[in-house]
This record gives sequence, C-alpha cells and structure tokens, in this order.
Amino acid sequence: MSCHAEPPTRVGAATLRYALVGSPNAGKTTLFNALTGLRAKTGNYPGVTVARYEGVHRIDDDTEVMIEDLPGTYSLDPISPDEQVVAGVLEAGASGDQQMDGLVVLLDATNLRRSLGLLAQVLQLSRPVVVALTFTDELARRGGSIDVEALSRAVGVRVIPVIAGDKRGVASLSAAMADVSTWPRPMVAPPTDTQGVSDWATSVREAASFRAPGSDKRTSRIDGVLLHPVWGTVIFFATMMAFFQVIFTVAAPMQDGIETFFAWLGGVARDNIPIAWLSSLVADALLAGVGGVLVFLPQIALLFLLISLLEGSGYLSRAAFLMDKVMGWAGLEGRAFVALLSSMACAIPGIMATRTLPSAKDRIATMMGAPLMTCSARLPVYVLLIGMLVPSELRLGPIGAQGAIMFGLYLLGAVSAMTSAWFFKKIIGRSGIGLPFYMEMPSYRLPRLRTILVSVWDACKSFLKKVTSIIMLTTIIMWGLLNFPLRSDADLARAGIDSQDEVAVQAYVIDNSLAAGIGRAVSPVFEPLGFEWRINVGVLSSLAAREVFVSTLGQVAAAEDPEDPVAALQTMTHTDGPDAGEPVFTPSTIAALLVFFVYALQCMSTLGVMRRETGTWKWPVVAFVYMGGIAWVMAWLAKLAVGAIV
Amino acid sequence: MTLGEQLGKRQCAAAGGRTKTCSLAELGCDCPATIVGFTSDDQISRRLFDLGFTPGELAALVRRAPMRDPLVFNVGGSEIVLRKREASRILVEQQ
Repeated sequence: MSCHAEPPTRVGAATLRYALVGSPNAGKTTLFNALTGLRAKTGNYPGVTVARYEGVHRIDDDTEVMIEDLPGTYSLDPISPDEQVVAGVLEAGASGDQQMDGLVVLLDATNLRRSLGLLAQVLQLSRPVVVALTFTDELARRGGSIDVEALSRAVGVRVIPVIAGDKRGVASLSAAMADVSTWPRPMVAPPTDTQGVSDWATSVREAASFRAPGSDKRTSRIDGVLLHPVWGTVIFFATMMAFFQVIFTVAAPMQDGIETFFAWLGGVARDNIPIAWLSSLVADALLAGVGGVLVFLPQIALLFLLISLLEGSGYLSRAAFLMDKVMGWAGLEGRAFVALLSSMACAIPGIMATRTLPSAKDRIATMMGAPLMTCSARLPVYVLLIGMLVPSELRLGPIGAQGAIMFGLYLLGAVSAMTSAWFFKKIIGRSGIGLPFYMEMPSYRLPRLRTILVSVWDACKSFLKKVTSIIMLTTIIMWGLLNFPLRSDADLARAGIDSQDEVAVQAYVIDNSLAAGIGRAVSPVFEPLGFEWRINVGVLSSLAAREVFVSTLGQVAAAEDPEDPVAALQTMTHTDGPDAGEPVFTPSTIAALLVFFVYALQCMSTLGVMRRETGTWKWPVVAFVYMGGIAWVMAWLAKLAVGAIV
Repeated sequence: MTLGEQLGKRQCAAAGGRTKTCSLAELGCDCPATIVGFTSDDQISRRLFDLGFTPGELAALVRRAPMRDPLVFNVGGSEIVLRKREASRILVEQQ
C-alpha cells in the first residue's frame, strides 16, 4: 500500500455521508424515505445491474447529510451482486470515491437473532456504527419485549428505536448523524465463527432481557385464507386478473385523454402555423412525440402503485410463493411473476419491476423475456389484422374464432417469454453456482402512503428522464422519413394529385418519401414473409410505437380514416413484381405479420428502459437483434403454415 | 484477508452421528424441531445459517405450496420460504 495513496474525496467540505445497512424487510426503505423523502436520486452501481439510491437528509436549516440506501443484505458473506456491492462498499469504507463517515445498521426487533448476526459482521470493520431498531411496535403487539438501553450496552453501540410513522425515532437518529464523533464503539468486535457468533447473540439477547415475540396471529389468520391450497389460489388469480384489468379500465381512459389532448393541440398548431412543413413538424413530430412520452405515464404510475401496494403489504411474497414452482420451469423464481404480469400491460414497468429480483442473472433473463408478453400496444395491430383474417361471425364450436386467435396470440407471447427467459438464464454467466431461492415472508403490514408515493414518483421520474429523448428522437426521425422530400403544389399538380384532397396528398407524399425508399430497399428481406414495401413502411414506423403501425398503414393505403383502414387495405394490390395485381393482404401474409408483431422488439422506449436498468447498451442490442431474428423466422413459418392450409 | 474472505471460511457444523436426525424437507408435521447442522459446508449452507437457520434454534414447517414445493418454515421469529432442495440441506432433530 503506497503511503502516497489518495484518500477518497469528499463531496463538499462538511457533508457527512452515511450508509443504511440491513436485511430486506427490515424497514430500510421506509427509513430512507422518512429521511430523504423526494430528495433521493436513483442510479446504478458501476458495472452491475444493481440500483443505487442516495439522497439528502436535512438535519436542520444549516446542516445536510448524504444518505445512501445500500441494497438489502443478509450477510457480508455475499451470494449475489447486490450483496457484493454492500460488502465492497463497507469493506472499502467508501462508495465509489466517496468516503462513508458512519453506518446506520437496521436491526429488526422481531428477528433479533438474525439481525444480530449481520451486526456482528459489520462491527468487524471498526467503523462508526449506530443501530436503528425497527418494528419494536410489532414486537410489543406480538407479546415480546426488549430493554433498549441494555441492548445498547450489550452491543457496545448506540441503539435508537425507530417506528414507522413516529417522528421521534427519526429525530433522534437525525441528531446522532449530526456528529459522528460522539458515537460509542464496542471495546472488542464480536466473534465471526458460527458457534461464537451464536453464543454472542444469545448473550446479547439475555443481557437485553429480550422476550421473543409469539407468532403473528393476524398474519397467520390471513395466510390461512390467502395461502389456502384452494381458496388461496383462487383469490390469487382473481387478484392478478384485477391487477391486470385495472390497466385497461383505469389507465386506458387516461391514456385516451392524453392522446385526444395532444391531437387537439396538434390541430391548433396546424391551424395556426402558416408554413405547411413547419406546422406538420410541430403537430406530427414534436407534439406527437411529447404526447407519445406522456401517454405511458398512467400505465407506469398505476402499475407501480399496485406493485408497491402488493410489496408493502406483504402480499407480493405470497404471490411469489404460489408461483415459484411455475416460474421454476423457466429457471426463474416466484418474484419474476409480477414483472412478467406487468409486462402484459407494458414491458416498460415490467422491466422496471425486475428490481425486486435479488439475482442479477434472473433480472436480465426476465428482461429478455418481458417484451414478448403481449403488451397493450400490440392490441390495435392484432385487432386490425385478425379482423382482416377471419370474419367476426366465424366460430370454433362455442368460441368466436377472432377471440380464439387473440387468446392464442397471448398464449404464444407468454410461452415465448418463459422460453426466452429460460434460455437466457442458461447462457448468462455459466460460472458459479446458481443463487438458491429463499425468500422471507414478512408479516402483513399496512403499507405506508409515503413509501408508495415515492415509489411511483421514482418510477415515473426515471422513465421520463431516460426515455423522453429516445421517444422524441424516434418520432422526429420517423416524421422526417415519412414526410421528406417535401412536395410543393407544383409537384402535386404534375403528379395529377388534387392539392385540396388531403388524403390523396398524404398518400402521395408517403409513397414517395424516404421511408418508402427504405421500404422498397429492404423488401428483399421481407419478401419471403409476403410483406410488400408498404407494409415495410408500416413496420418501420412502428419502431416509434407499435400502434403507429395502424395509422401509418392507413395513410399509405390512402384510407379515408387512417385509424380504420380495413376497407382500403383489403383492396390494396401489389403495384409491381411477380404478384402485380394480387391483393397484398392474403391470409398467409396477415398471419406472418401477426406473428412478426408477437416477436419483434419494435418499441424504442423498451430499449431505453433496458439500457437504464442494466446500465449498458449490450442487453438492449442483444434483445433487439435476437427478437428481430426470431420474428423473421417465426413469421416465415407462419406464412408457410397458413399458406399450406388456406 | 478481507472480511468477505474471512466470513467465507466459516464452518457450519455438520451433525455428528446423532440418531433421530432428518432433513428439514422431510419434516412431516408442524411440530418444531431443533436445527443441528447442515449436510455440507459451502456457500449455500452459510447462507442458510445467515438467514436464521442456526444450530440450536427451533424450526417448524408452516405450509407447503399447492404443488408441494416450495415450503414455508418458521425460524427465529420469521417465516422463510425454501425450496425442497435447499431445505434438505438442513439437518434437524425432532423433539
């Protein structure tokens, strides 16, 4: 070690820095939110798929401290990347290049034996430590008791009881954080060998007159119902269906409202900006882009509200418990279920929800599968194409054929998602033993409103920060490709288009646009799938958002109402080539298109969120490429299959 | 030696030839049994130790999932879910 080694730098001359250490479910997030509120920011630890939370805590008007909420850990003998981060930070006494001044270790009073094990490990590091003792109220409710002063003497550091919702504990902790030099330290570190630490923990509990809590009767009673082999499963599926339905019944109207508002704004822009291309830029690119970003927010906010409720109350672990076996078939664990379920509304909150998975491998594998779940953006495309494929009167026995196909597509998406996750789990980092599955089932608790709101706010904020630029950029580029080269009235006259007929003008512009050039250029690639160049243009436009496919195709086909282009599409014929004169949308082509949409990762926003969650572009690129490849192959197979039948 | 390395060298006592030991996965009823050790000495066993499955503590089966796996155990004041595979590493002595 060099004697010229640079000490880690400090942020601001006097800003003290503390880290929160504790096991998951010890109340760390609640405490962190109570200390930092909305003044927390989320990032990533360098090089790993682990989220980093730090925030500012104001002790009084003059003093602020930085608090870092380290990932939950059961031990400094790490078994996962999350825990390695904690072990690394504590060992170095610094996070990145910022030194830690003190550690706040959370002990769960209802799980004292285990919590003391972690404390014993932390005390090895000879750093200033203060203990926040949580859930003392639950301890009392369950018939247990503890002498906090005696506990403090027994462990050798100050112990501050902290109860959620009660400001006094946080105030004491806050005061302690003002001056770390006053913190008492133990004379001697506790032992670390298994027998030694067990004996130490026992002696500490005796010295603190600890009476263990009885089992939580309330939780047992509720679990008797919610985890009943029959009723529990029924209630679970009902809850999950409700969870999922809420998206359509609550979020969808809000989303429609946002789209209508921006369409209206677009109309205002068009009416008031005299220059044609400029008004189109503002209306169709800028406003549409902003609208395209905001339209996600109701879904994200709502899904995170629900996930936060499930997690805070304790029901999420019950759901994971019930689904673990099924998830195990894909090499995942029970908690991945909620992330995949959320992806049925939109992959973006689903991918963000993978934060609940302790294993980084599981997170990435789940993220690779999540976009294959049938998201709500695919629905307008499915509805259009299925409507063209089979008439609504056709029935398969008692079930309508259209509904059956829709259900089949959902099923295909789900099975593909699980298979994909299984595959990636297998190939990612073959080294090392797999993380064994274990999960604590906490007592049922009333989730704190603040925790829920902070969780929702954090999700929306990180979405807006990282994804806005991608969506705006993609929308503007698409606009450019579809509207350039610009056509003057003279050009239109020469082509025989009536410049007053907006539909015809739009169709002409698109037919001769850069996007059309691209569409024609890539047609060799898509020809085996039966895609004509105009379908290619539609697929290209869906890179901004899948549902844009419908309106783009509508414009290309010169439909009277681009949002309902069925009639125009059905009469669309090949303009040249070997199929000239034949209809474009044959059953096999439609089937290929449907299957293509099942698999292709067109959503740029999804890539943006993947980038944000994994900290690297590697995984989004892998996802885009592999899903694109599979989409092509599966679409081709679908074309062959349907072509053979019909 | 870093703390992590030091902790990695911990030995979890493997039970020494007692009668009446079975693994936690085999526990049929919900009566508490005393944990006496682990079937092997590796990272997973250390993790189970750190989770609260420490020799001397009582553990009891609370319930099974609908497809018989995973299982919920009550140990040290908390309920922990383990798959049969991990639970079979923990050796217990019935009362």
